[in-house]
Amino acid sequence: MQASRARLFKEYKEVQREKSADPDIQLICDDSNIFKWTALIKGPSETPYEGGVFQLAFAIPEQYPLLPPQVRFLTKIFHPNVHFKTGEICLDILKNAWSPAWTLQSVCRAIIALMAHPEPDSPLNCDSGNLLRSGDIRGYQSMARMYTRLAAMPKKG
Amino acid sequence: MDSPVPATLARAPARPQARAGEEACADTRQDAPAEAEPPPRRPAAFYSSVFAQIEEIGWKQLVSATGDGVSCLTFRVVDEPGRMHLLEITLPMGYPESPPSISADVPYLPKIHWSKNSRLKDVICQFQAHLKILQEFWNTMDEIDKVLWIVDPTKPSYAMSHRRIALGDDCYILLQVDARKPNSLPECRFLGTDGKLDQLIINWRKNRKKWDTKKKFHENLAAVLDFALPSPPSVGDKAKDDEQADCGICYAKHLPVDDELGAHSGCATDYMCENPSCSRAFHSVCLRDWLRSITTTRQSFDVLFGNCPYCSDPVAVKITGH
Repeated sequence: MQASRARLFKEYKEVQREKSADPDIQLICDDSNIFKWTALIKGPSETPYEGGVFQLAFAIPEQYPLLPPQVRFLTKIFHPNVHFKTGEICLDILKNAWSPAWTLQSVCRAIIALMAHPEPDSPLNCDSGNLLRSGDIRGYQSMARMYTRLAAMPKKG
Repeated sequence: MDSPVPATLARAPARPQARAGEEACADTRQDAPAEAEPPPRRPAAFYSSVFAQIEEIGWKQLVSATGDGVSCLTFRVVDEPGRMHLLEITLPMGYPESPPSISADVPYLPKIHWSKNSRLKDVICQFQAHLKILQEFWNTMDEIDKVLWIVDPTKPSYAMSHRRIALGDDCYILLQVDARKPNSLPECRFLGTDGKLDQLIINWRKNRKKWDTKKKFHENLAAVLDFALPSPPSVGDKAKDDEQADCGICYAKHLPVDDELGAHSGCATDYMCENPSCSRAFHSVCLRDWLRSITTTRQSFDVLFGNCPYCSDPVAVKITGH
């Protein structure tokens, strides 16, 4: 508990310092709980998620960094490796391939990479996975772009 | 016939305005001499007296003289251990009946004893006596700067009596030393992460009565906090030290002071990955905890075998204590 809190405090300071260096990721720590963070990540360019801003929720276990943070999408996203309803993410570094070398910032970077390179062979979203596996790239991109517009773009007032 | 008349009328008002202007100018001219009067009021004897006193002190010690010639004098004063100080003496208009004022880079200024028969050399002698009194304060600050890890100020001036000291694990203590009683209990504030800080604050409140003015400052501080205070990082290897000393898992240089950690309590990183392009440092306690938490770790007698979290090269850690 003590070690994880101290490490998170250092990560927080690093995030504050590097704020302008990585404009695609905005990490925010809860005011009263250092084990709760949210992040805003930009959809990568040249993908159907481009132009969208996606919100992630981090729940960090007391054993961090011996255990990975629990991350899920709060923003709806049509992606084969993200559960559409719960926002759960299937990513190896958040499960069995976790290592203390990862930080919250680099986890965000990995999730952005996952958005750019979906892996349909282990889907949490079967509709999305099926489209990709059947080769219907256009159909997948069309659906993903639609949901990006619906859920991840600021509504035009 | 009509045109000449307006011209004449136009000219008439102009003259009164000009006269008013002239009067204003005259008033200004009268004021100017009044403003210039103060300098001449310094009698000639003032200058010869000041020059004689500077000669008495020694021209080599005079750093600068500004103001109306010599109303503000700066002298170099060296104290017994060899610290160089600049003493600024300002001579007021009523000098020598009025005492001069002084300023210097010291935590507090002495009260100057002055009579109209006093000389500037007396001021310097009193300042030197004041520096003598301040030696204890500066010796204490020098020792703190030498023994403890000072984060701020990085280049303290002689007047500064505060220090922010790193305690490790992103915890700091901000001290305010009493310049008149430097070995007395200082004022302090704690900054940093909560968990470890709570214990330090408890220790401080519980143990502050144990502060012993006869002991050295840093010894008192370590005793009251009940904590091994980290040494300052060596200047030459500072950047390297900062990089390598942090544990790659808990991101701290030192483990927390905790009875559960036994001999490892408060220790620095003691394991380094053998891959030369990795060389990541770890506390063996942290590395052991990590290896125990994954399924791929192998154990042979009292040694855990696994892979470096950063480069995946083989690592081996002894299981000690438990």
